[in-house]
Amino acid sequence: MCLTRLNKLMAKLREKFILNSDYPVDKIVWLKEGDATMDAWGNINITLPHTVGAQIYVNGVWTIDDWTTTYNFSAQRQVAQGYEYQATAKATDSTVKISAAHENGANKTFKYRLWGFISEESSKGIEIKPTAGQSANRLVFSSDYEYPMLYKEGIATPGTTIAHGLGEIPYVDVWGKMQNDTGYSIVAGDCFGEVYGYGENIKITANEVIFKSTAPLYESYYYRIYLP
Amino acid sequence: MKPSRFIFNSDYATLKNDAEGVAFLTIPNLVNIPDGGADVVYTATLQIGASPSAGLRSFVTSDKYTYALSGPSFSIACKQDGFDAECFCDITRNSNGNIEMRVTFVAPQGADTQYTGMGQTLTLHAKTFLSPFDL
Repeated sequence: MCLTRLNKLMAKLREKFILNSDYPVDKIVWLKEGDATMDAWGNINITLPHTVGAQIYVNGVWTIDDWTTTYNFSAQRQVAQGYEYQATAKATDSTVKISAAHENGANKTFKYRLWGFISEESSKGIEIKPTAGQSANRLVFSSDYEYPMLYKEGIATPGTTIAHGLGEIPYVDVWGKMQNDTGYSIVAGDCFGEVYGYGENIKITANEVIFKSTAPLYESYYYRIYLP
Repeated sequence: MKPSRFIFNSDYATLKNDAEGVAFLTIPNLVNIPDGGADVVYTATLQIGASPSAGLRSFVTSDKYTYALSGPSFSIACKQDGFDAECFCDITRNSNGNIEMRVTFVAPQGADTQYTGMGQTLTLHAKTFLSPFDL
């Protein structure tokens, strides 16, 4: 009983530190920001090379109004006319492809900021160029901020359940690779899976992350689980 | 260099937590949209002062399900005129640093429609974070 209470106390305490040596923080291995003009229909496609030398997993943000409204990659909004907006950033071991659309984006400036991670498995045996000096932010660490603490990461396939045992729902980022496709793009929790039995279908509970087998469109996922 | 070998490595940029909060949104169990009507949208706003280009990490729980859904957009099961269908949830950072969660019931063209069976209270858990381009 005492040990259980101690474990619960420790679970609470670990979240209170800005940095905790039990858990790594995110280490970004690829960075890119830029802008380009959307076409007359509000569409844009950009291909960016990268030289990390392995599969990377890219996330980021974008805007068409100079950061008044900020969208995550993978976010989308469906309205009567179709999509109000949608975007993906799909990465392979050599390129990152951005594809975005916005119904109000005709000839507007599309700005993006991207950052990429590498899996523990993929980082073995390769040299990765430092990124700390590649952005405007030279201060890599500041005690004014807390840092997302990475609890677990890895590859999963549809039908897999990953136990995390945290006792509460964690924040989870997931990238998916579709069947007969190359590259991973960040995906949201559940689109169509509950209704039609296909599409990405990821459910998070207090002790597990479930990649349901009703997701035949995806053949592989990469996940990062953070402390709540 | 092997970034994963260290808890923290000053050679590699990282992400910093920015703001966090929780917001609630109750959607009804019945939505009628007449022919020619507009999309019906329910919105919850989380006023946390998120920085302009902050990234967003979020999940949404529901009093109807035992699990959470991750990410900035997903669909919610319902019936549309008695058939399996979905409404859509999306999460963005809007002006003034607000995080907005919207559930949209799409208006079909050329017919009355009725959405049913989706009544629930959604709880948005959101954390924003600063990328190396911020600050």
